[in-house]
Amino acid sequence: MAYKHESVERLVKAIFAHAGSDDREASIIARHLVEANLVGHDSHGVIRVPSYIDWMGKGQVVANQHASVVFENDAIAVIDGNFGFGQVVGEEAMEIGIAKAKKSGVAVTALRNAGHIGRIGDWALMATDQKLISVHWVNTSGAGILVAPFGGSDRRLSANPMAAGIPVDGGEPIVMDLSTCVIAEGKIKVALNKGVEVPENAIIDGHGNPTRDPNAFYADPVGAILPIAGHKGYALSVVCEVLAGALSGGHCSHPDNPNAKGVTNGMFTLLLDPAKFVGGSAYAEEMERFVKWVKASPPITPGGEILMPGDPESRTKADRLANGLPLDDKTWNQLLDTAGQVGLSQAEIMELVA
Amino acid sequence: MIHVDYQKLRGLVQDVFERAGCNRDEAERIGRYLVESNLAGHDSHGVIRVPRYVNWLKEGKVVANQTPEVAMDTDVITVVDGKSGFGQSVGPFAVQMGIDKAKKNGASIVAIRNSGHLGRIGDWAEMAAAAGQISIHFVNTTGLGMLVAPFGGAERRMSTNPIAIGVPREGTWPLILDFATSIVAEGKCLVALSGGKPLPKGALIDGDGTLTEDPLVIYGKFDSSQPLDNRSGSGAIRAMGEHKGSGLSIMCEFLGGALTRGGAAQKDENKLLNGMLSIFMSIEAFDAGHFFGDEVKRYVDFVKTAKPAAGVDEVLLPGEPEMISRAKRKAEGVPLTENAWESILETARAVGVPESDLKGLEV
Repeated sequence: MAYKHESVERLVKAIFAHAGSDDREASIIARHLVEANLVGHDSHGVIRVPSYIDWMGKGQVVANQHASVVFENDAIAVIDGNFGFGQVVGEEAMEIGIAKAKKSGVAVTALRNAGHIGRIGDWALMATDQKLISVHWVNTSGAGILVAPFGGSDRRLSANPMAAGIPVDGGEPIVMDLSTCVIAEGKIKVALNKGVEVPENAIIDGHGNPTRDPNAFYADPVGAILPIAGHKGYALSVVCEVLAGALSGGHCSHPDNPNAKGVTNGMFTLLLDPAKFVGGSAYAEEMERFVKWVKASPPITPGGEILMPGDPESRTKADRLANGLPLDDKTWNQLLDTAGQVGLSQAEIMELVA
Repeated sequence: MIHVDYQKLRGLVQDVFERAGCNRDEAERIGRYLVESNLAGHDSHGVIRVPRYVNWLKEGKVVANQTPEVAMDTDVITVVDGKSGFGQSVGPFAVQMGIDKAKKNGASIVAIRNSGHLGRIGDWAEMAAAAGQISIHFVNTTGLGMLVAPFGGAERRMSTNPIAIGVPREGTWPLILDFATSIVAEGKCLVALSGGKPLPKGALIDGDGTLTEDPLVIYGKFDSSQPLDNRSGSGAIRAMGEHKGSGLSIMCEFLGGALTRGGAAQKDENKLLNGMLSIFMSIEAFDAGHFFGDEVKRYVDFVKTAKPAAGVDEVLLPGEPEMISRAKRKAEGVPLTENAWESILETARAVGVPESDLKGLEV
């Protein structure tokens, strides 16, 4: 079933406003979650609302918090998210980094103790909107431990996404956004809700055997997700833990961390201003040339097309803006249940989603 | 397989490059870095490259004793033009500038363009780690190394575009991530072609879109009397991790190529030039509370104690296979295939290394 994105956004905003977020915070959370659905990353979209509300009730994420700077100079900033909503403290941390990069040409920010910061591609887009290049490494401090190390058979790493954004003059930015494991946990949840199998070579069961059954992932003992590309994805994931976890002053994934029960993210961000590196239009011309050239690689499948990182997302967004957000019944009903739990009446819900 | 004493191998490589026109310091660095790759187990970036390096020097595609030009120099940004000098000279020059600035300002960025082959990128991460700094490196070539198909494509559009990241640890060896964003580096195709370790299944794609592991799709033919040309094949190497590695590789082209102004990969380049974007970070600048070292130690212990998968003895950390290899090869000698060793000796003879110096190198 497809829903108008405006209606879903109104409903999500109302849910957070009722749960204790101020108006601005509720808007920011709703905007980011719906944006993830619009670009097709359903695993990071409104499917998360019930967990967010649950965490809020348990004090694992705190309403109406703001980012505070622990240390800064012209090029770097260490920022504490104070366990506030990632959508809010993430934006604030990015604003700090963007201002520094515009001044110095370079900025490195290390954000710790942020609530779930959602789809990392959002932060890359925030940089490309300002004509900056960005690269992001993300970890969680404990609740998201899901991934087995290369050669290991139980969970030791988080899904640890990386993202990068490249601004393109007069065109769509190029945005890479990936988790360093084969699939994000949200995608296993989507498969579980839809009752379908996960792709091959993506997860192992609690005994270390390959499986395609999403139920095996949540069984006792729990399964684990495999890192992308074997030892390479494993190494990238370890680096996410070190940069976003340890260097930020937050924590690397560990079940004994004090904040391991709720998702607490760390994000390490590198921002670069290409205008400070390359004079004139050389950078833009080089980008244009290379993109054309890559897209001209003959497709493997007849009628296929070579896409740039970010192309699938911008196409999905155009489609969903026009045709609505497809949400499965289970996700939609969970959303309505959550709305009821935070005190929205049936009539109010009906009015919001009308 | 032939085993060569690593110190003697360094000496031989140094001698070859001194005779080929490099000054003593540069020749020493080339010998040291190439043999270091072999010690680390990255044979693809080791002395197997000697014949090609010497050919490039003769053809003027790499310039001996070149002085890199600092094209931009702020508190936190350094842009270095390698002017086709040896990567083993341009690399340490630029990396040292990055380390010095990060020591002062917390972080710094170095953009290198037009460098000769920068070799094993882990070297640069290790150099920063030895100075107590975290570093991250994105690398591309301007086109000669173009070997990798974009996700969904069957034709070469990117280079093998390595990424390296180094994290120093207190009192022990640093964590070093160092890999090509392709399933294998080109050197591994060379190794497979000369009878060494075979390639993983489906690591390559033929020009018609079929998955394969036959290195001939890269080189076209194998004739030991002819120098190998990786442009002769119709196929390509595939990106690691499907669309994810393809995305990382494209980012290397933009960061290492477009931003440095060295250029992203293009057709018909006839010399190997690397671009590299590096970031250096002083841990102290971020870590006033002295939290980092303990947290890394705690986390490393957590990862190491994961129950090993079936058939695996031990979960290894990034950089650990290299540590193990280094100890073993220092003791037992550097293993080289007969083809590889013979072509190195050929090159040594051609630049005038006396026959007597080519004896007694094997363990």
